[in-house]
Amino acid sequence: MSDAQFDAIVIGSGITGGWAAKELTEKGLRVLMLDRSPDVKHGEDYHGEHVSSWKLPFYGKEQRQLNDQEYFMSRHSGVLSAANRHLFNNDRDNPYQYDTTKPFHWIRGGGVGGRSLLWYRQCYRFSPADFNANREDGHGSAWPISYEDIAPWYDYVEDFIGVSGQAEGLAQLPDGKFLPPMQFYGIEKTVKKRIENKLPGVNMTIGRTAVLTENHRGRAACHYCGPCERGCSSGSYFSTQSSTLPAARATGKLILRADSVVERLEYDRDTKRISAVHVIDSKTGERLMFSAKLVFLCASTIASTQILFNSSSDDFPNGMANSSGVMGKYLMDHTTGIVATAVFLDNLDNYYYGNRPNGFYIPRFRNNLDQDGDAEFIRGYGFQGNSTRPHWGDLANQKGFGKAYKDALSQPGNYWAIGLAGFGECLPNANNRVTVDKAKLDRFGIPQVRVAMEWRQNELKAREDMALQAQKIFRAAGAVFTVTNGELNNPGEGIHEMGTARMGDNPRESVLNKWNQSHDIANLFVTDGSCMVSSSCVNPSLTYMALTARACDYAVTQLNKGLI
Amino acid sequence: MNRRQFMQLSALVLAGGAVSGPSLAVDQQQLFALGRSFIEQPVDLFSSAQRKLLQAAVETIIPRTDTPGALDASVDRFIELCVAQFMTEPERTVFIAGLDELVNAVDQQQSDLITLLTELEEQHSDAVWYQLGNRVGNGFDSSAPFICQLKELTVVGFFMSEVGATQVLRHNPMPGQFDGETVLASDQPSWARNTPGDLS
Repeated sequence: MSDAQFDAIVIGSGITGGWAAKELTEKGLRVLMLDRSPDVKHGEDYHGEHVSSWKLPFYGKEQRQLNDQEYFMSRHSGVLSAANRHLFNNDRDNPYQYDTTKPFHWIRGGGVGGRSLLWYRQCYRFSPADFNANREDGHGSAWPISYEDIAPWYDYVEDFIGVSGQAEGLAQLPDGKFLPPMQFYGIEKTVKKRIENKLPGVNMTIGRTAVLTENHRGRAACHYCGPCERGCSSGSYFSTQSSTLPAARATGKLILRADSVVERLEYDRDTKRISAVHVIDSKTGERLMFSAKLVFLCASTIASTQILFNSSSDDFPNGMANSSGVMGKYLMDHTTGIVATAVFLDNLDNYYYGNRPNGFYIPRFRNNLDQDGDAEFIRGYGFQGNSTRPHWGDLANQKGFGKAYKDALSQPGNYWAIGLAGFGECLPNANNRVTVDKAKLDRFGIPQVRVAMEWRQNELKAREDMALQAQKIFRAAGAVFTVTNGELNNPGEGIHEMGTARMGDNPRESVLNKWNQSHDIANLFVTDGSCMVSSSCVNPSLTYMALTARACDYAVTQLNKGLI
Repeated sequence: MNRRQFMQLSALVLAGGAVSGPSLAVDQQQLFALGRSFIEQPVDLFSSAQRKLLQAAVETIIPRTDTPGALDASVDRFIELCVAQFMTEPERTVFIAGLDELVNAVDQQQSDLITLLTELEEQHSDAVWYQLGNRVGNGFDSSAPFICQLKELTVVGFFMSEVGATQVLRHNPMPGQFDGETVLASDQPSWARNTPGDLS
């Protein structure tokens, strides 16, 4: 297997690895896709899908002692349960280092498909202003591409994966190619009307989500069962397994090798290319080596950075492809978490049918055209909201017994609750960084990563503003009362970590060029979140997909011209 | 029918757009019924006196009315499993001490069970568990006094059980569509949940 029987090796099978495998195989390349985790077969390995509540251990109550010992990071995802634990990383078996007084919670998938099986599926385009932000205010470095460069790739990706949403014509949130939008709850229609009447510049739209509202490319429309994170055998939300992997396999040119931990990449000084990928089989411990003309590193931001640092050599003493010295720096995430919850007494004769795997979205409304006079922060944030008609779980914590208690808990509570979660942009900062700790080895003998990140002044000021604005929004919306929450998530818990191998035009200030290609090594492409130059405030997965497809197109063109 | 056959069936049904109404085909209902309930596994933690008291207590909290009650849903068995396997050691100590106190109080015929439970609620009315904004979800309040532990596990053990979810609440694992503006009738039960922590 060490002969060059592959044209390309894709490392990682998550959102970007799946896209790389699809694009490269469809362009005729023979591709080996490696993933460190066990295989997860579409459908048959979604063991918790549609399992009734009474069949779950403790009826779904969190198995705290197990999670304390083995899933102490994964639990912060908010969607870990007995029904999908096998899709999550085992945090005891796969350790990393951080300063416990400044925690960074790294939340990882634990199966082939990675977090594509577990994500919240929100899909938003970065705006033209997002790609200009660093250049204009001087934080971080300039993006080497503009919105116009990526727009056709957004189209391409949305068309393939299927994104449901509503076009709104907003400059700060470009429209895409949408399937029909999901429906609002009645209370949300009421709230939307009031907000948009009373607060000019504040808009409310249904979440744009990679969940199908109609049959699409051989995948079935959503059946609204609810817990997408258990896997979906009808392929109604985008995952590697439902979407890109079948496309790659249909070419007959893909080999997927699970249980394959990439230890390091090998650089050949004479050809100035990566000449080999060194792998440890996690089941047998066997060491293997694979070669190909192209290497696509799609292992997720921190893991890709770890692989590059662990591939240091005489030619690259500070980490492979790191002649600039910026690799590992400028780690970003989003500030997330519930900012405020409000109670409404409207639409009480409404109920609902089906479980909508999506919420609503209030796009960025601060500092949009110019800096707002009253804003003590730059950039912006968006709100993701969801509505709840209270059920027994919300009503149980009261006094009483007997028939009255039972009856009260059996029926919907007499109000609606709406929660707003803020997603705040994080500025690139060189001190937020990933390194490797050669003294701390994992079970394969591979040096672990060390992550150091903390929220800085701008993120904290924006977070304060979110609480004020959320109250203003709820007041306009007609809430009878509002509770704010001042807690800020730990870095990492946004699960949008990015930026440690940033793109740029200047090889002295960036790791990758505008095609996600290493400035230093022509056959190395990095297309996961590590390439990001700024974070915007919108969910980044769609942008990673578009950048990956674009990079694949460029790489194959260059390969065919004999330039790689 | 095995899991693979089920997948094929469900893909077929969904791809064909055949799921148009709220009810499941009989075949699928049988499929969802495969596998055993969590409470069918053995547990042997409580004495017969403790069990007897627990049975009376859960039925007091959620009695059989014109719909099934806690004992119909084997809530006592769910709680015994939770105390044995779900609770931490300190939580278990609190629960068993609380249960024994109730056993003794009833033995001495101080008063009837509902009076005793009501007194316990009054005694612990400042417990965090009762505070506004708290809810019964996937987690568990380690500081909860016995009476709150008992109520929480009774509620979860009832509404997440097969009996509670299907005969008291409304259960529809495969809705097929979403409508956020249905009309709510005055006596309509809530939808059953996938996990205790589900929000809507």
